[in-house]
Amino acid sequence: MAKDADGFREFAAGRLDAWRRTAYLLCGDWHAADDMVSAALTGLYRHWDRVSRMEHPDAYVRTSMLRAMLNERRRPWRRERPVEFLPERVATGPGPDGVDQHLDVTALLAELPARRRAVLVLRFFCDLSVEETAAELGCSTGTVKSQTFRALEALRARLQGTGLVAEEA
Amino acid sequence: MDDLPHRMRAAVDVPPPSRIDLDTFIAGEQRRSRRMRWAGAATGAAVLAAGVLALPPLLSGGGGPPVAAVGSPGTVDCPIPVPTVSTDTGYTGPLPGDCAQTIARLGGVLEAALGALVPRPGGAAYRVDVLVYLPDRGVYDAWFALDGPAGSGFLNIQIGRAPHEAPELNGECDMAGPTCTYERTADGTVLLSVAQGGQSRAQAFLPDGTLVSAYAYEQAGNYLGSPPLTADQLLELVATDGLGLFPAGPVDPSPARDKLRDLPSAQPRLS
Repeated sequence: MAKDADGFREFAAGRLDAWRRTAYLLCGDWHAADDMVSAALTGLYRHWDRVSRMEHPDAYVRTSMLRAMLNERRRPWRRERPVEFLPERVATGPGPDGVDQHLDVTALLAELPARRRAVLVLRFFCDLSVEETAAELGCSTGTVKSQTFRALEALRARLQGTGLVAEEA
Repeated sequence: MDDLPHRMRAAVDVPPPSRIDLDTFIAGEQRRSRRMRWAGAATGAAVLAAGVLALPPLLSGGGGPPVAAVGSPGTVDCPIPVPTVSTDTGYTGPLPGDCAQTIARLGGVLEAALGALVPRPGGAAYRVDVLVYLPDRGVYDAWFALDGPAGSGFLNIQIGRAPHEAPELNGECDMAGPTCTYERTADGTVLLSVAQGGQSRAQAFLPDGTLVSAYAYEQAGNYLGSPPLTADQLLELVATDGLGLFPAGPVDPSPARDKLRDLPSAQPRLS
């Protein structure tokens, strides 16, 4: 059975940028983000006949990217390794332009555990509700709330009162 | 811009150009799908072909590697000669006289017969030391690699005590059609042959109770080409004088056993 390649192209073209941005916030690297999106696209294309009939095909792609990120973090070469000297910390103060803010927020997100980072990105960048976030991460709403709380608490402590505050849902 | 959502959007506000090209991606996936379909079809065809090739030898009781002993000196494992036919020990034996002498005698006959049927370049003789005795089957067995006028391939010859009386007809003619033959000669020898799908087989039920079987098949083993010897040539070979095992007199057939192993197509299991 021939796939609806035109439908897939139209769907993906309209959302590719958003997926890349989400992936970048999840992994903190544009090349890795492209890899995540490519992996998600591959799955999406192979199951397009089924996914295209879903109510929220976007959720399928986001879930694919989240799994790719979480699986990638489990790779042996991604595990934490001891180093002789601590790396330099990224400046945490809010800068006058967007570049500084960009470095700031991605560095802060990178310091969070993967699932907490995913919770923050889904809730505050993708504007998903607690229930939707729980569904995409495959966990309970209570877990999402607690992860959100702990992630924001970590960010607040890291910023030490720089004004970076996200309203709790 | 002092809240997290705004900072996140600012961080990804100006993304670098994407390395993902949707058209290239879709074309690549379509190529992959085509390759997978072809690979699946090819695998299915290969499995089917392997099944078709493997089934006939398995059904006929063989299945061993047919070329293992080709051209290599046989290890003659002769049983203790049994001088009489009275103690029937089953399919194995009784054998007339000395096994080593029988091998030498049969080897000489086969060498001459093969040399006449398929002369080797320069008149080189066939190695008769490939003839061995298989005690578990009670047969003398030889494998030859041949380059005949019709094609290249292998020839297997088995000589042993007939497992049953000579048949009244060739049971394979129903399936093989006009390429099979049945003949009862004036001296009581029954000759059967089948030529089908790159292989030819012939049997001779000799009056003394010996069964001589010959099986030739083409090199590729795909049942599509021509065997090195035709069915007529095999008939001539199995009917060669001097291949009987019981020159002292006729013996009864061996007790009945699995008939499938005794059909003309039987590929021997090499010991």
